[in-house]
Amino acid sequence: MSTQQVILAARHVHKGFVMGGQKIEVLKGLDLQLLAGETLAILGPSGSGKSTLLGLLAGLETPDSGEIALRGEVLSELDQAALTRYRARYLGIVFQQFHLMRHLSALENVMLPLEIAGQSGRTVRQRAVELLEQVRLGHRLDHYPHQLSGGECQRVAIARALSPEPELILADEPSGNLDQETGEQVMGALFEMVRAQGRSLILVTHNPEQAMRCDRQLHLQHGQLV
Amino acid sequence: MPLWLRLAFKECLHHRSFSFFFALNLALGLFGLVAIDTFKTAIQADLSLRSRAILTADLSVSGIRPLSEAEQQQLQQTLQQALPTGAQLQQTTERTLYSMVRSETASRLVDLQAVEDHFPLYGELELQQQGLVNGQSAKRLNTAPEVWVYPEVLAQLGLKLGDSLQIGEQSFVIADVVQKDVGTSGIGFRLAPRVYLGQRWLEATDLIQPGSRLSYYQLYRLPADIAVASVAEALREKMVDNRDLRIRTHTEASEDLLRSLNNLNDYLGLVALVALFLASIGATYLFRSFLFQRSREIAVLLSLGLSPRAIWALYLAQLLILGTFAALLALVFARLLLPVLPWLLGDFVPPALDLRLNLRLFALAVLLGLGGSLFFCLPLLRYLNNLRPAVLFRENAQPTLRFGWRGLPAYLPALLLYGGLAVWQSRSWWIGSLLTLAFVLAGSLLALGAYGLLKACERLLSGGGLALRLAIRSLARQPVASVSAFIAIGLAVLLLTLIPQLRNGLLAELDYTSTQAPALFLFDIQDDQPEALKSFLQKQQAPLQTLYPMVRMQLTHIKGQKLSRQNPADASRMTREQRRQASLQDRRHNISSRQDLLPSEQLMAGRPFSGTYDWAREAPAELSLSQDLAEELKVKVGDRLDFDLQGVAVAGEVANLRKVRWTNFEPNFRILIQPGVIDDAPKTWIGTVAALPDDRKIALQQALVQAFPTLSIIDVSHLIVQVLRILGQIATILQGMSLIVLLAGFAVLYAIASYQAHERVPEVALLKVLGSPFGLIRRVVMLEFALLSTLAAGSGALAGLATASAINVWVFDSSPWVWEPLLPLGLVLGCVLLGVMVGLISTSRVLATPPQRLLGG
Repeated sequence: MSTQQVILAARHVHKGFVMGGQKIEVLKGLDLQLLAGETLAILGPSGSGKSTLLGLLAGLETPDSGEIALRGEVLSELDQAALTRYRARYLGIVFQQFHLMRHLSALENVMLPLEIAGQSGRTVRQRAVELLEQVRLGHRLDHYPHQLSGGECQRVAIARALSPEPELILADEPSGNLDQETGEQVMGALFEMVRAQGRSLILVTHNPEQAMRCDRQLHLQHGQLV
Repeated sequence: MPLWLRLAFKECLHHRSFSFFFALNLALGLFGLVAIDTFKTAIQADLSLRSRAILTADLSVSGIRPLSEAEQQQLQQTLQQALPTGAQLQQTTERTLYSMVRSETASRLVDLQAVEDHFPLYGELELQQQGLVNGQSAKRLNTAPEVWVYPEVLAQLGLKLGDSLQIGEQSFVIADVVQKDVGTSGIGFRLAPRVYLGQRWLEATDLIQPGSRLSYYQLYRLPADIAVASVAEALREKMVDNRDLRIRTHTEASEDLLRSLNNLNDYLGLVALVALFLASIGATYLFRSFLFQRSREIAVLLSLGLSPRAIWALYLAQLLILGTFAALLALVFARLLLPVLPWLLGDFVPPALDLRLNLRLFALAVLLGLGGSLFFCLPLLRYLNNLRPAVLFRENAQPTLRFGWRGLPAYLPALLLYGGLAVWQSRSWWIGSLLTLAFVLAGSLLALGAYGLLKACERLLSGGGLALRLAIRSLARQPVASVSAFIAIGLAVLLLTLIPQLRNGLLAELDYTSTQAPALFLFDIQDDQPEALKSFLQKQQAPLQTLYPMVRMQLTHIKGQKLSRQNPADASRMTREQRRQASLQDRRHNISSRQDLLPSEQLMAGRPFSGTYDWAREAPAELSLSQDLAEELKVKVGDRLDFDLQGVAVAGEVANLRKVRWTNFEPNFRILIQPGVIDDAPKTWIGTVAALPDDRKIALQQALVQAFPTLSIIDVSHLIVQVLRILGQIATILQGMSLIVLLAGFAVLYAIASYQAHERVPEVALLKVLGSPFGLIRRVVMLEFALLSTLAAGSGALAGLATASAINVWVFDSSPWVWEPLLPLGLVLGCVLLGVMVGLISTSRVLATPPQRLLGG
C-alpha cells in the first residue's frame, strides 16, 4: 500500500461555525491521507462533523485553516472555476437522500456528469447504459425518479457518481434512507463497482458492518479522525 | 445543443404548470400592448395606403387667404424647377368654409367644399346617381347651380334628390348624394356634414365677406417618379417667410390624422402598461417560488461540477424561452380578440381595417415578453450565489435560496424599463415620468398599507376563532406573497375605480353645464351685423347672451425671439410636448377683446386691463392669457408676444393670467387683448343665445339663417350630446383595458395562491394529521383569501376615489363631485368573491390529498 500514490491529503484542517453568536469548532486540526484505490470508512455519531468534512473534501466549503489537497492540488488555492472543474473531473458523490434530478430520467441522470464534463455523443449514452446495467437497472433507463423505489434511486445515484470515472467517490450514508435488505444490495453494488473500477472511496456511515467492508476505518471524534 | 440549453428546455417541459402560468400571466400583461400596437399599425397602414386619396393630391398649399399673384408665380417656378423638363403637373384649387344651409323648414351648419372640374386629383367619390366619380369624370357642379350632399343633410333638412337647397344668397339643386367620400379618413367625428359645389358658384352665394373663415387650397398631382417630400422641402425653403401658408405632402396629411388617434392609443397604452407591470410582478413571484423549489436541484448540479455560470445560462435561457412563449400566447389572444376592437371603438376607426398580425408585431411582443421576464426575474438569479450546496450532506436540512429585501435595488433597471416604456407609449417625458412616479408611489403606499393592515389584523383578530387566527397568521407571516397579491389586486381596483369616477365627474360637469349652456352658438357674424343682429333677436324675444369680437392673429415672436416654420417631417420624432408647443407656435390664434372677466374665469396672476388702449403711447398692448397657454408657451406676466394681424405687426405684453373653466360652453378665448386694439381691424363676432325650448330654438335658427345668410350656427345641445357620446366611448374602451388589468391582477393572485398552496403542503397535512376537520381547513383558506381580497380591493378602491377626487380638484377644477359608492362597493364585493374562488380552486388539489401522501412526499 505504501508504494501507492496518495490521492487525498488533509492537513491540520480546522472548521467552525458561528451559531447563536457562539463559535462552534467542528473540526480541530484534522489529518487524513487516502491512497489511490483505497476504501476508507469514516464513522461517527450525529453532529460529529461528518457532513462538514464531506463538504470540505468535495470543495463545497473551505477550511478555516489547514489544507486539503487532491492529487497534490490544494483546494483552497483553486478559484471557483477550477474547483468546479475539480468536482466534475475527479469527484463522484453519493448522497444519503439520492438527490437525483427529478425532471431527468434514470439514464439522463447518469449521463449528466459526463455532459457537464463536456462529453457528448453515443459514447456518453453507452457508458450510462452500461453503468445502469451494472447496478441492475438496465430495464429502468427511461424511468423518472418518482417512478423508482428508494433503492433504485440510490443505485441510479451510484451509477451517476461513477459515470465520469472519478478518482474519488464520496459516499454519505448511501443506505441511510433504505431498509436493511435494500441497503445491503445498494452497498453491494457500490463496493462492487468501486473495486471493479479501482476507485478510491470515502464512505461515511453509522453502520459498523458496512464500514468493515472498507480497507480502513476511522472514527471522527472531537473534531479529529482516530 | 449546449447542456444548459437542453436542461432549460427540459425544465420548461417538466414543470409544465409553472411554465404555463408564467407565460399566461405575462401574456395577459402583453396582450393589451400587442392589441393596441396591432390596431395602431393597421390604422397607419390604412392611412398611408389611402394618403393620396385623403389629401386628394400629392401636395397641398393652403392658407386662410388667397395666394397673391407673386406667391402663385413663386409656387409655379419652384415646382417647375423641381420637376424634370416636360413633366406633367396637374393642379386644382379648392375652397372650404363652414356655413349654414337651409330648406323651407329647417337649417343646419355644413362643411362647404367648393371644387373645380379636376377634383379629385386622386381617389374617387361614390355618388348615389352618378356612381364613381374621379378627376376625369364629367361634372356639372361648375356649370350649373348643383350640389352633392351627404345623406344626413337630406335627412335633417327634410329634403330629397332634386329639391333645392339655399346656400347664402344662391339656391342650388341637390343633384346627387355622396355615398362614399374622398378626402376623409373615417376617423373621429365631424362637426358638420359636407356639401360639394362648384368653385364659381361659391361667389354667387355671397358668403365670402371680410373676416370669413374660408380656407384656400392649391392641390398638385406630381409625376409618379417624383419624390414628393423633396418638392415640399424646396417649396418650404422658397416660401420661408410665408408662415401663414401651410405646405403639406399626402403622407404628412395622413400623419396629422393619425396623431389625433394616437392620443387615445397612448392613454390606452398606458393602462395596458399597468397590466404588464402587474403581470411582471406575478411573473417575478412565480419565478421566485420556482427557483426556491429548485434550490436542491441547483445545489446538486453545482455539486456535480456544473459551473455557476452554466446555471445562470440555464435559467436565463429558461426565461428567454418562457418570455417568447408568453409573447406567442399574447399574439394568439390578440388574434382572437382584436376583431372586437373596431366594434368597441366605433367612430374612432376607419371601416375595414386590416388587423392581421405581422412580423414587426411579433418582434415587439417577443421584445416586451423578454423584457418583462428578464428585467424582473434576472435580479433573482443573483441569489444563486448564496446557495450552499454543502448542505446536501446534512440529513435534516435542504439547501434553500434565501431572498432578501436587500436585493430591491436590483429592480431599478426594471423600473427604468417601465419608465422608458411609459415615455415611449405616451410619447411624453412628462406623462411617462409622472405615470412611473405615480406607479412607484401607489405601489409603495399599497405595500406599506398591506404590511400595516396585515400586522394590525394579526393583533386585532388574535382573539378570533381558530380558522380566523390561522388565516391571518398565514397572511401576516408570508409577507412577500401577501404584499405581492395585495399590490396586484389593489392597483387593478384603483384603476377600475378611477376611470369611471373620472368619467362620471366629467359627465356630471357636462350635464351641469348643459342646463346652463346657451341654446345657440353664433359665429361668422360680420363686423357690420352686430347691431342688426341684436335688434333682430330682441324682436324674436331671444336676446343675445354674449357678443365678442374675434380676430385671427399669427404669433411671430415670443419674448422677442422670432418663430420659424416647423418642418412637419420632424414632427414624427417629437415628443407630445414638443409637438404641442410647435403647433401652438405655428397656429393662428383666435383672439378676442373685453375688459372684464367672465364668471367662468379667475385672475391668477398680474392685474386686470388698465382700460382702453392708448394709441398715443405706442406701448405694447396688454394681453390676458389663459394659464394653460402661458405654461405651454412658457411665458409669464410681463413677457412680450408679437403677432401678425393680416400683415400688421401687433406687439403685446402679458398683463395677466386667467384660469378658464373650459367646460362651460361659453365663448372663452385663450388670448384676450386690451380693448381698443382691434376695434378697426377686420374681424368677425361671436355670440350666444340663452337656453330656449327646442321648438323655439329650431324656429329661431331658421329665421336667423334667412335674415343673416352668412351667419354660422351651432346647436350647443347637439354638440354636448356628441361630446358625451364620444366621452362614453372612450371611457368604455379604457374600462375594457382596465378589466384586462384586473384579470392580470387575479392571474397574479392565482399564481401566488397555487404556489403558496404547494409550499404549504406539509402544513395542511399536519393540520389533517392533528385532526382538523376538512371544513376547518377549507374555512382557513376561504378566510385567508376573503381577508386579502377585501383589504386589497378596499384599499385600491379608496385610493382610486382619493386619486379621482384629487384629479377633479387639481386638474379639472370641477365643482360638482359625484360620489358613487355603489361601483367601488360592487368592485370590492366582486373581488372578494373572485378571490375566494381563486383561493379554493388553487388549493383544491392540496386540500383533497390524503395526509399520508402529503407527509410521505
